[in-house]
Amino acid sequence: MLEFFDSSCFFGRRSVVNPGSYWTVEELVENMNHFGIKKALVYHSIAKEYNPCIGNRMLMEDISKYPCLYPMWVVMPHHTGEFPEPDELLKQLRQNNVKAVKIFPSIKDHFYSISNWVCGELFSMLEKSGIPLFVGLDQLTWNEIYELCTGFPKLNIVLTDLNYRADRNLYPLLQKFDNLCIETYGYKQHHGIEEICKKFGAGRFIFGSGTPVSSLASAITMINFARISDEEKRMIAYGNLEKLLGGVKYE
Amino acid sequence: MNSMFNRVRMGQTLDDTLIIDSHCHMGFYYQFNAPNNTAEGMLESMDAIGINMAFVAAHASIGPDYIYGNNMIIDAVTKYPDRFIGYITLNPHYPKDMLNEIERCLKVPGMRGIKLHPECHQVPIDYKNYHIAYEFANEMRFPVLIHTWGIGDIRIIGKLAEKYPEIRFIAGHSGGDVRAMEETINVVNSNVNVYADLTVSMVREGNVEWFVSQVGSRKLLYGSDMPFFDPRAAFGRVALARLSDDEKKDILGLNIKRILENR
Repeated sequence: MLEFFDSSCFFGRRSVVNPGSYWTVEELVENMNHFGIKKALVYHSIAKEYNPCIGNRMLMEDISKYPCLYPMWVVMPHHTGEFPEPDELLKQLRQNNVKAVKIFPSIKDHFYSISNWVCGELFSMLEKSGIPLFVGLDQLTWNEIYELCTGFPKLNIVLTDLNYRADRNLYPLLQKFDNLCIETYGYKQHHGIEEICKKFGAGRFIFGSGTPVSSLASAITMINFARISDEEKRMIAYGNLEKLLGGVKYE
Repeated sequence: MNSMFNRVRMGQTLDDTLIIDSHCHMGFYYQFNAPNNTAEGMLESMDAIGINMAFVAAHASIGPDYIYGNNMIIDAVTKYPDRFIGYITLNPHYPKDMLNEIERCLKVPGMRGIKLHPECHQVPIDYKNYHIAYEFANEMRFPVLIHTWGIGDIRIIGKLAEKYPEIRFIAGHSGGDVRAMEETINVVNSNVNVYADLTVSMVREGNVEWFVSQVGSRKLLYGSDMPFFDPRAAFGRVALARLSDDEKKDILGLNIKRILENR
């Protein structure tokens, strides 16, 4: 049975809980066990919907008894004093063994520019430290993604929350930037996984489910039944994320 | 025998289960890349997960040219009669040709339903010209798949279901957003001739189990929108759902089979 390392999970109370879904860490772990998900990178919904520092602290407390859960912190720029400066943040990431971060810069979430004059220091620190940055397609314009990839060519960027309308902009980005990977769950393009594997290699995919908002069952099935080699499936389901996190050096 | 869950989790196809994808398309779509969108490309996707048959309406006919699109579907059901069933797609802006088009398409045995896309054609579901199609479908006891998005669309389906009791109405996407899905549950429970199709881009966690808990498994249909999307995501959330295998079999194929058999 194919093993999975899920890069896209969260838990915690949130503003909207759809019927049939869940929100506790216990339910997340039960769901992972049910579907045979071995490990998951997780963030706390309070870090997105209320305050990153408070949410990240709650995350560390809540996942402490679950060795299958690995922390993903939500980060933001420091200038207002709401969030630590990059040097201090790096110390905290190292102390807490946090190897991946996520941002929510869109107008509907944390509402800041990702331009250099706002996020340059933060992104430079992540680039030097080898810490991958996860950011959703719902958070940035295609031009902003292009600028991010251009400005920080060694920053590992994982584009999440894709959709089926992405290819015409996604293909040229994947062609130009080796530092860009894409998370799987939103990418429901017909034959899409097969086409990306053929054109750019299976190394460009990181498995993510989006649970508890999106269906873990669907995310698994997209990979399980893909018409690619078993080795490519293993890379997407587990190996690529393991390798990405293995590159973190906290410098 | 292993449960459906175990087999699908292992990546095994369900060759002993009838799977009919009740909501598919075919051909290019102007707004984005849809690779391998031909009948043959879709058959590859179907074979990968064990879909026996797909009920198809062309992208071209929910868009600009219903004749070009319906011809594409006629070709597919003629070439692969055991794999494709066709929807006759109608455009309400060509009312004089509507009955002619139905009669033309019905000469082909595999054309078994009507598809309407009021959003693409920018009219309400109860638009006056659609009643030509509804009257025909009511007489023939035909299934009619209608794209629905929002509570308003679902409420109209409820009214149409009372007016046309012999039509099997399929509420495409179950209304799309969650509040509309709640209304879909009401309308499906109140009308024996309304079914909810689970086709949707946002495959929400626990959504299938929730639907079954509200309406049972006999009024829900598996649909994927292929080749708008790959059919795997929609298949996985049914096949791996926390439901009995019998409930999953209803949704994956038996319900649409019963509709087509007029039962």
